Amino acid sequence: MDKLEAGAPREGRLGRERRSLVLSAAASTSPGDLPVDDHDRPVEPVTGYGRLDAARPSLLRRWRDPLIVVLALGVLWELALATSLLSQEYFPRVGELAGALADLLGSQTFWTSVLYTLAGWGLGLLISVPVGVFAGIAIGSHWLTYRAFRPVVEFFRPIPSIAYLPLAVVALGSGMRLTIFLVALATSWHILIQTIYGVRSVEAVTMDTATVFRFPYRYRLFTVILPSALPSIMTGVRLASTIAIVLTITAGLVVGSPGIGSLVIRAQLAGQTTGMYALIFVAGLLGWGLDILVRRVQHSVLVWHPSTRKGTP
Amino acid sequence: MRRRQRWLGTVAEIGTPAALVVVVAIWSTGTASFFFPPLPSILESVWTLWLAGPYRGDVEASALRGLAGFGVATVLGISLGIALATLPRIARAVHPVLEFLRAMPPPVLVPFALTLFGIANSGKIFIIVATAIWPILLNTTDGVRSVDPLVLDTSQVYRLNGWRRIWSVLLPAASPQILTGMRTATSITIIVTIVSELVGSFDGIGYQLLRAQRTYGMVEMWSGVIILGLAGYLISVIFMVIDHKMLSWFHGARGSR
Repeated sequence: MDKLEAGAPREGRLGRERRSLVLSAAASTSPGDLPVDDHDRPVEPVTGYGRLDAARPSLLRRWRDPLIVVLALGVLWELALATSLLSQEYFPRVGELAGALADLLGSQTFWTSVLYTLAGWGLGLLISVPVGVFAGIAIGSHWLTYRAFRPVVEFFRPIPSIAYLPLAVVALGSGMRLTIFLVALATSWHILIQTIYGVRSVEAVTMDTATVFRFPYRYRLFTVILPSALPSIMTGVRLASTIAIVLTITAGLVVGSPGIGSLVIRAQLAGQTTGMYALIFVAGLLGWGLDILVRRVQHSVLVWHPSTRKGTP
Repeated sequence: MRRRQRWLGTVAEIGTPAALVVVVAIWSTGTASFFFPPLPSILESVWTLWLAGPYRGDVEASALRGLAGFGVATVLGISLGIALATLPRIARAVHPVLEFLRAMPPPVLVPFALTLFGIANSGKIFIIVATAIWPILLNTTDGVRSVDPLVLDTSQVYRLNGWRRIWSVLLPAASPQILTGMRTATSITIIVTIVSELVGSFDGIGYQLLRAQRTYGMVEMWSGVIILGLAGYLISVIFMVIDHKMLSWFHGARGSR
């Protein structure tokens, strides 16, 4: 919201009207009523057990059961290894895995790889978010541009991002440039689509009201259109973040671009099974951490939005 | 005015893509750029190479692996999802673990399957199941948990138990969300299928793409992109049809509210 406020004009005579406008615009994009094409709108992934989490018990109580589960899984794992249900040739003991993790934490290459992975993710998104939002506003703002570009967007949307990988390798080699290009290309698409939906779903009454108040376009963009489209855009950003990490790692796996992915495949090829498991575990943690981070950002950008406020008591 | 608008819209809708295709076709035929082969020959090789030519077997192999993995993931995901939904305490306890598995970037598990299964089909199918199952499972659980309590009470009054309760109450009520999960799972399926073929395989779309990349076969690569695009398009059409046929009651109910 801070950013929005910064972009919005200072409180003037219209201050109060403006705020209520924002709120009514926001109310119109609650998940319940989506734009016309909502059946192929990427629906936000499930994040939790909503209502159950609503009354927050203490930290210990919340984590007791999951901890027991993790411990039980560890014990089961060891048992399976001890009884040769799982072959020790392919699966490490829990202790070995912990040792391999510790080795990783002490190694320089590991940390640079983590950094590269994060850089591929971040720089890719840094390009795609502004590009997608800007293009989305441009296309979604007018019915004619919307109808002209809709078929084009619909054509490119189902192409799996992975399809571009071989082409991009030929053009860009296998360095960081490849990762960033792939991430930017694949994710800007999702942000573009979500922005278009968001901009299209601004309620007509709200827009008409803005017209009646003779808001100039720039004013309208920051006080009406963007706030209304923001929930949809943020859904796009979350999708994009997931895709970004997947692509960064895939580029590493397939052509050895710097990052966790290339470490995993190297460990696999070298037969360092335990090291490979440790790296896979780290990749999971990375994906998890980034998901939580983006969810936090989404929440804090949308605190004012009814769909976010509804859950909090 | 309105009629003129509609007319203009239709012209724009057909005109823009058509104009783009023509421009790209002319430009790519004229240019000597190695990277952008002529569009007509790309489109031609979609048919002569992939759909009716030497790579047809690869398309079939990929499709079969994808379908098998996705099918198993769907069945397992829905059953486990329902089971978890009926056991809220366990669901909460395993939730962090599931979230972790779901957040794991799917391709990173491909080397794991390579170690375990080598480059056999079973490994590829296993890894598709292991990555595509999470969105289905989590969405099913969530869908079942958010079934209208009134519906549950009614089904209890009618003493619908066991299978009948699952089959005729829980599953239909959760189906919109299950479909959402399945749709997410399809894109994971495509990615993992292709990556597993890129990393270690002797057939499949991914394998042919890799070979084309190594031999700088630009036409093969571009037509491969189109093949994958067609696959994605086909999937989204299938889901649209399912959505219209199966969930018309849902959209109706939502619209009338």
